[in-house]
Amino acid sequence: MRAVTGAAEEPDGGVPHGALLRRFAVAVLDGGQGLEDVRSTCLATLGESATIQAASVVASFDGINRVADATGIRLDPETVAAGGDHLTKELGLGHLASARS
Amino acid sequence: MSQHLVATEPTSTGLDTAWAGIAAAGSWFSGTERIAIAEQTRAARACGLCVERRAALSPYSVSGQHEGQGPLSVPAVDAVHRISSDPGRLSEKWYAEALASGLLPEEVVEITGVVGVVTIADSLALALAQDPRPLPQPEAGEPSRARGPGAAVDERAWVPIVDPERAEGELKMVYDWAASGPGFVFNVARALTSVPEALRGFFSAFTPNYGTHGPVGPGGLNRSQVELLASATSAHNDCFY
Repeated sequence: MRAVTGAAEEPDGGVPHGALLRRFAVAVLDGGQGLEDVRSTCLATLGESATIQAASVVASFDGINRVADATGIRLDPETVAAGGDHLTKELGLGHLASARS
Repeated sequence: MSQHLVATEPTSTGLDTAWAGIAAAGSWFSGTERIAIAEQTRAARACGLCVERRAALSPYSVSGQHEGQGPLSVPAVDAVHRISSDPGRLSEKWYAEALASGLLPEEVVEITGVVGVVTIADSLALALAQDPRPLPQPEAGEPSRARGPGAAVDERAWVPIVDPERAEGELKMVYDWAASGPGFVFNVARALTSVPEALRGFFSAFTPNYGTHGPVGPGGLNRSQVELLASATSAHNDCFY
């Protein structure tokens, strides 16, 4: 999970090219700062198809985050049962208003 | 010079559907107003008030007017800008104040759906080194102002939601489809059910790119990589979901 926040001692956090993927996500979400470089690295390392897939996932979650935040939905009971609330705390997101029940 | 990348066919088709839907009258906003919501979603990224609020310890400590108004009411513009530019700090207090300022719960839901679609389209374009999609021309027509049957507020969300057992017609079909993979319907899918157009539009854009079950889709990333991208995005946006 620390790979998600960039806090892992081993930068990839056990996920192949995890650090690179995280840098790509952050560059997109920060409005393109440093994006050209990290996109080029993704293309060289992961290939075009995987880079496009990564872009699609980041964009989709950028959108669904707004749906979750603006509607005040709670985590699903099924997700909580599967450890989702633990994950939320580990990511340091337990303080967020829309996560509170 | 950036290499312009092209989204996969399912992604493009889903976004085309959602994009065209923005131009049509919805349940609570006309096509002209929905296009204005899309314009304000984009304007919020450079809006001086939004920039100042984002930098403040609390968004409530900064008052003022957003740049650009158009045909939308002041509360609607504020909702669009807050959802677009500072979603991680939306709170139940924010939602209550939006309703107190005159917005209906379903209007908040419809605004959210449009902001969500525009966010997906624009983030994807940025990530792929493409120009943002031009907004479509608004279509004529009046909003239906029809409330979906069975929408109710409970502890699962601020907004009203329609449960699967109360769903009818297209909404029931959407629920059946949403439950077919994981075996249950995620709350985030329920969140837009009081405005079926919002549900259909948003998930037309979202679904081709991510599913919790089955293959992760074409591209070559494995499940752990996809989940890392999803989680990293949510963490960066300060979103628990």
